[in-house]
Amino acid sequence: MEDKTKVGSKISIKVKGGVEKPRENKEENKEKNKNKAGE
Amino acid sequence: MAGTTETYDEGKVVLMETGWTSYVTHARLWTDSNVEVDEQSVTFTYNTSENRWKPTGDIVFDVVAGTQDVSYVTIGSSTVEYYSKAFATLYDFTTLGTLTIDSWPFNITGDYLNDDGKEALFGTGFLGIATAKLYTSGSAVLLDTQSVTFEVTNQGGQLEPTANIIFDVTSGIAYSIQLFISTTVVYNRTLDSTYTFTTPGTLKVDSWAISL
Repeated sequence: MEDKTKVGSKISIKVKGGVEKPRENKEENKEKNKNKAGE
Repeated sequence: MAGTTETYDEGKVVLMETGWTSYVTHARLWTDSNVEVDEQSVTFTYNTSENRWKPTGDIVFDVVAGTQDVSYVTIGSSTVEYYSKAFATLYDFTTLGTLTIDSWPFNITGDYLNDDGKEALFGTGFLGIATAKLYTSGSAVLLDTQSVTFEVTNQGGQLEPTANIIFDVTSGIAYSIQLFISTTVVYNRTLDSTYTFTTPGTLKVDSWAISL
């Protein structure tokens, strides 16, 4: 018998003095660079 | 520790072996390049109405001016990180600021897990499971009680009994098994089939893997 038990969490934050910045998608950039190299 | 994904392999094993409540004492804030920004003492407790394990209050990190790419938070002891959680975006601080975690509930889910059992699991871990009981339908009749021990069998977090669980049955229809930490039911599992004993016999559970 096997039981797929899971542990998970959700987080909520508040930021003062900081500015949001998107995460760089490294996989996407890698793909773009590969395409550029192939041009 | 990578800053872009949620990881908890170490945490899974600690949870399984000993529970988290007494082990998680600190929270730390990190940049995407794994530089520590701030550390705060924390206390997590089990909320019995929500059936979740959560901080007793807000966790407020101080961030100095000029800090860039604030990326993720970890919880652990004074020296070890058990669990990391990345934010949806990065944060740059050109001035002094704060990052506050105002909600961070943890939950354990499973098909056969009892809500009361979760508190015991966060508190003392899966190795606290010490008793298995075999019941008829609706837990109407207790057919047998056996002592059991579980062990963590790999670093990815899998738990198995250290030996076959063998129930002695005088008579009755075996229907379900409950696992206990002390007197608290952690799991309540219905057997795949019912087994009718008209004469004394045994029911052997030779495999029970719990995976996180």
